[in-house]
Amino acid sequence: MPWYRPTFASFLAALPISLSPAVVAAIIVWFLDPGTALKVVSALFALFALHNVIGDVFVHLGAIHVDERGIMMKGSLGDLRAIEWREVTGAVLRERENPITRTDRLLIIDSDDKRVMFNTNVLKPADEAALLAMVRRHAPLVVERDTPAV
Amino acid sequence: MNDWQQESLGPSERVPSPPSRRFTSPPLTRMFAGIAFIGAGIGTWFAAGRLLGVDWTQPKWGAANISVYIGSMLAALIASLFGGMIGMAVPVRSGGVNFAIAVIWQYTANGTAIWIMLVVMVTHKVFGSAGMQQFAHRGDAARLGLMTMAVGACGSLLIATLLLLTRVLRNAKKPRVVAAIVIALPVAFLMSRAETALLPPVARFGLFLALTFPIPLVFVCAHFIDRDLHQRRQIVPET
Repeated sequence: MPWYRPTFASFLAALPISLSPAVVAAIIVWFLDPGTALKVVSALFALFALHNVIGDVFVHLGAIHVDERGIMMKGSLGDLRAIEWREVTGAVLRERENPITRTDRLLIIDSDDKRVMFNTNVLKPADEAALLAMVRRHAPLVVERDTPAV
Repeated sequence: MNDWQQESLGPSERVPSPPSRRFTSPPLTRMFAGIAFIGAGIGTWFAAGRLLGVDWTQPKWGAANISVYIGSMLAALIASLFGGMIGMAVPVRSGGVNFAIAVIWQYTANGTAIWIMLVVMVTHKVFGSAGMQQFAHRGDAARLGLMTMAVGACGSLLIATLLLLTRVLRNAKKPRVVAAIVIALPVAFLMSRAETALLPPVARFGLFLALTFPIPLVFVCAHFIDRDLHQRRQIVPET
């Protein structure tokens, strides 16, 4: 069984959305020549964008592996987290319809002392389907649908 | 159970009445409320200002000015409540019509707001802070504000209509974002030309206005249309 890794296309698609608060802040500062309060707000927007980009990098450096024994996730810093199927106490797939891109999906697998969380929608669609089919074969996967973001 | 000595005067079991069907359209409700809010607010503001003899070129925080602001805000809120109630009472049976209303309303409302924000930013850059204050006290500032709003509303309405006619936006399908931006661009150029005719100093940033406007418009509206459709599914699941 292979390691499923996020695609570079997914990373590139996420970047503009993540950077958009900084772009808005830059436009506001350049056009409005704001006072201190608005400059602070703009700086917070820029920090938020930086936080988003760091999040994107971390998500896209991760990888996930499933086989007949269990599920294993490699974190962005090379840390490994593994749960055997017999240890699983809960398996949840949180879904949120995204009006523009693919449906956002977060897979959460719990055992008594460990938790594996992975954004599956950053994988290739075929990889995502294969991964979720494998999880469903070994654990009762509960799908929770979140309401739209707006 | 009945026997030959009994006579049934009604059904032996209560037959549940079919659930009442509502075909409320959330975007239509918002459209009615929004139009009523804007119409009543602006109408009251102008009418009360004229009635109380407020001179907007020399604004002071007097009783008359404050009454006009508070009165127009109250009138707008009350009108939006009534507008929303009327919109809620109009049944929209077709999912497709509900989708078209959502597209037209969200593009018009959000497009107007985005256009006004962009024009205010550009005007601020051209005139500077002190110049903006002088500009706001000009006799025709209110008329120019309304005309800017009209340019934003008409342009956005045209974009929404084009996106529906070209089927770039379709019910139950994700929008084709790049195609939507490409279709919106020529209209944005027209809007920029119209705005330049109204406010000639803005011409320096005409290209910026035209190129920037479609991007937030398409992305912001996609999310608001999605919310409208989600709420509609909660009311009428099969649509």
